[in-house]
Amino acid sequence: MSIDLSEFIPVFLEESFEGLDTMESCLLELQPGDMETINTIFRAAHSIKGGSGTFGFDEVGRFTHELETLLDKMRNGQCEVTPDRVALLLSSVDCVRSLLVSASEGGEVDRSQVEEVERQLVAVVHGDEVSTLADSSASAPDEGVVDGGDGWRIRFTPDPGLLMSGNDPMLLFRELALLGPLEINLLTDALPALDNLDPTELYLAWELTLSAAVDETSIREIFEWVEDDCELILEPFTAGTTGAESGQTWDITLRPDADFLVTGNDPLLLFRELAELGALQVLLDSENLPALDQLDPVELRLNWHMTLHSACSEADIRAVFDWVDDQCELIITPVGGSPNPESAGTAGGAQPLISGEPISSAPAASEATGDQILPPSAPAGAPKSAVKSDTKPAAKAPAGRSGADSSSIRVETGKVDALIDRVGELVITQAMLAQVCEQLSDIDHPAVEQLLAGLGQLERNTRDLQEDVMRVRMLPISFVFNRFPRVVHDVSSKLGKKVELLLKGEQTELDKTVMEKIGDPLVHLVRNSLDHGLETPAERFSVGKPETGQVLLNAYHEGGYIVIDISDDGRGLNRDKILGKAVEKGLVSADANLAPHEIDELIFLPGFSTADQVSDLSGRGVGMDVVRRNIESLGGHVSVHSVPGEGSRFSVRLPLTLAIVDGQLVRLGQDTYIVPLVSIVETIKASDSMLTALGGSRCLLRFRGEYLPLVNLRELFELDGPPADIAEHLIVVVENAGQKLGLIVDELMGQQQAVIKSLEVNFKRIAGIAGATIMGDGGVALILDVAGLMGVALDPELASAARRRSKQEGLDQ
Amino acid sequence: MTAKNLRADAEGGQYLSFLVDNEEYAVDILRVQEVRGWTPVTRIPNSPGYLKGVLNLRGAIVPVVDMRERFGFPVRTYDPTTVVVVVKVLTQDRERVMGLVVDAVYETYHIAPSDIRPAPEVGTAISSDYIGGLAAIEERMVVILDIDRLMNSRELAVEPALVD
Amino acid sequence: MAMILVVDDSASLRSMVSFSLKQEGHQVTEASSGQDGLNKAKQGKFDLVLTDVNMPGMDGITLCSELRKLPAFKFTPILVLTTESSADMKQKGKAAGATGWLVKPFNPDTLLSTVKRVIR
Repeated sequence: MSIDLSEFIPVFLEESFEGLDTMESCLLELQPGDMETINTIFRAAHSIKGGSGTFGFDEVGRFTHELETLLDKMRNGQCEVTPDRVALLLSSVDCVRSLLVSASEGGEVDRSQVEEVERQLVAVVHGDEVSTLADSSASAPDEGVVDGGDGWRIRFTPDPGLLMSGNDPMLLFRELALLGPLEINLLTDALPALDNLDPTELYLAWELTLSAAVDETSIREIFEWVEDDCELILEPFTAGTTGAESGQTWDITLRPDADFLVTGNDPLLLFRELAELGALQVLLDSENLPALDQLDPVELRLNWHMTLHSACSEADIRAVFDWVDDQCELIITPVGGSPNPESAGTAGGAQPLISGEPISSAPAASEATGDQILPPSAPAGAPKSAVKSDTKPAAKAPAGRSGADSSSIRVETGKVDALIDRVGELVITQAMLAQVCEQLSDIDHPAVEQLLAGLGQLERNTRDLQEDVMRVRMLPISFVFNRFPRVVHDVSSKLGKKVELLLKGEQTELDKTVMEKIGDPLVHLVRNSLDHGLETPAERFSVGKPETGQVLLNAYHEGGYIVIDISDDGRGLNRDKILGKAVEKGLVSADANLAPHEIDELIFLPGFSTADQVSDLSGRGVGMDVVRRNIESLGGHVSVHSVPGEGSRFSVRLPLTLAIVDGQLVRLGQDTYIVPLVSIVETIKASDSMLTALGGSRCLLRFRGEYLPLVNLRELFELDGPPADIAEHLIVVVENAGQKLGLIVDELMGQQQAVIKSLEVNFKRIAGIAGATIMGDGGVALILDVAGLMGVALDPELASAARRRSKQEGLDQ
Repeated sequence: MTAKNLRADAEGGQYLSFLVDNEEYAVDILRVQEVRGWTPVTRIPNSPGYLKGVLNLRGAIVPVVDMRERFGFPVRTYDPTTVVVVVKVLTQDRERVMGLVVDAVYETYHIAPSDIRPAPEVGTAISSDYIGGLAAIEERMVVILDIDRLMNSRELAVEPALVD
Repeated sequence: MAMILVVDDSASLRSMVSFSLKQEGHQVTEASSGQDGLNKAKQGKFDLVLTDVNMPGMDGITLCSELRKLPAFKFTPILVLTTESSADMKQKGKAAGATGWLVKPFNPDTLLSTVKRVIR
């Protein structure tokens, strides 16, 4: 059969990357003697190795093999856990990761790096090599087989109820054997699975070869008592009819230990295997068999002698017994080219006896009710995961999926998204029904009442369903936080700084998409704190701070948002330097009079970089402006708060999900738009006295001591409609990246949660529009993208005029 | 059924034709997802007049293009026969759904490839870029549209992937 | 065809094994941990158990011995999926009552022919 393994590769890769993350976070906190953590690391490596081999990632498999071996030694205490070795293991994790990435997505791997790490691994692993075990194989005394002279082939198929008649095949065979050498072949074709066996019934049949020139009657006499309870076929044969193809004949003696059956092994299955190698004859030796009624069904008291005629090698035969070779005595002897009659008698009184009983009576035990035998179940997994999901404060990285996953499933995000879409439809349909029903509410009819009640129920259920479905996409922020111990470990050692990383609120959940996109900006912010925020141990010592600096990542929910604070206890932002740089780069004028927090905000301006040299850490050609832009493209916001000498705190505020937005509905002419609440500072009614005309239609709004540029959205969007003749202008004040803007709208229409639909699916991105949503009446409303809108709407001249005015005002006061 | 028709069945395609300013245009019927009556749409800011806006098609946001305005014909007020032909447009590596506002849906035809002539450089009301071919049917000339090119031109085009 | 319980914490291995077995017409129940496997074993009837060794929580060896304590599993074949490096593991498996083992990495063909050895 050909099975396409490629289908399973994405899952394998996904779990391998998770495994690598687990290894990494565990390695970072690994203390010598922490067996549980080593075990976790080992297991992850082991799984990756197993999967790599299976799914054809041979290079990964080979590399991981060395890695696993080292971990195994650490686990067994053969190899000590040292910082050097942990570092080596961390590099190994990187290698496996890059090997996997390159194997799956293509792309280059740094071969020399991989080879070097592999070389080091091998050196550590084999430096204290212990020689491997030697295999001993039994030598073989001669054992017998029955050869046929002229004789009888007997096929004996007892009825299942034969045993209940008090007869016993064992006794029959013993009688037969008195007539001459008897060879017994057990036929198990009718044998049901063990646990379906009725212990009181017999499912076996036998094929017997009696090598004695006796007459048919003497045989039939033996079966006289059972002839109504069995099928008996007698067939005379002449010597030499047994199969003789090219090949070799093997004598095999199997003497199973009494507990052979306990491991689920079954001689009959082994014989079946053997029979596939060639022509097999099996002789049962029941010398040790007690009487039937004294049999312990669990113990095996039988021996078998077999003759196998086959072209196979001894190793092939041994392979069949591979699983049981320590549970039996196995003797294999080659016998020249043909069955050897001389050895026939050596089994002595090899009285062929019954072989079915131990098996068929075995389930007697299994039929018994099992309650009293149930072991106290090992509590291993469950409590551990409970600890991880909840109470663990910080620093301990939850090992991804280890604990909880027995009750979790892995689903493609596409399926979840489809579900979210579908529920979105349901919400819309429900809202539409609710609107229709409002028109019915005057009608006095019991059915209308019921309908309204039902709709109320539907609305609640729909809302709950939507929340539940959204929650499916939510993951704890620990998935992102887990990256940081490694980042901090690497960066701080490069910088020669001592850093303690504290993680808080790792279980705070947010949408998977947001999570995927927030990782890089956060890494950048953390690197920034390590690079620019924290001082060197010497500097810290000289100002009386502990040598080890602290970086705290703290996540928590606030309103419909998640806030992630990145704070350090370093030197704080150097405002003189920032201002100097900004002036030098022409970002602000030299005579600008900026408040401290305004200076801090300058670091987010495009083209700003405070590092004297662009270090390879926080530099990377990416500035804080990109961080801010990335965060804002997620509908989020980043701000900085700094106290010189005490440290800085960057606060990242993100919507919990990108799929839903809380919005303010506004009317522009005949069209409805939605302004995300997160962007809104305030909505006001502005009187003429608050407006300052600037020639043309341009206008500034005086708002809380500041002058803001005003934008008439209807004009901006070129939407026709009656001229706005409202005496009091409705203005939505929005803010993005520290810039405020007043939007003139025609009407404020209440707030609503909107499921965001992309315009790009069937159309394209529109500047200033984040997407669309479907309203209760089935119509479409567009959602404003305030950041994008600023780009389109904000006349730089107007903005600077507003700034000048604000400044003047500030001076006047 | 005649032999000729059989061959047409085997080789030709089915086309849906519609009227725009009394001209008959046709599109491959396999591209037509549905035909629906005109309903008001939501306007898109700063977009050309022929892009009437977007509508909700069972949860999908679908742009709607007025074919008269797209081709530069005189504007006509929408009436009960005005319909939106919802088509699938192939764009780069994906499929987009768009609505075409036309005066009326006219007919469906079997047209064998051999009956389709290439578009002349001149002499048609619309640019030959968007014409897949011409077919003469019962003395009338039907313009077979290349909707992929038509709907991927100018403001309707998908912008190249945004680079951060 | 047989009822088979497949216990492995790796979703990829587990689905590969279970897919292959299903192709052969077997009925497969999947479990993603030792504990899960034990729970499912108690709820169903199985002709064969395939279990990974290295799993968080209850490992495959422990699962073996726990299964052998259940009357219904006294004689059920149990194969452990192990790696070639662990000769020691085979012994541990046997001691815990495993019927045999299947060495990783294996391909579907190996898997199926091995399973045939223990299916009646």
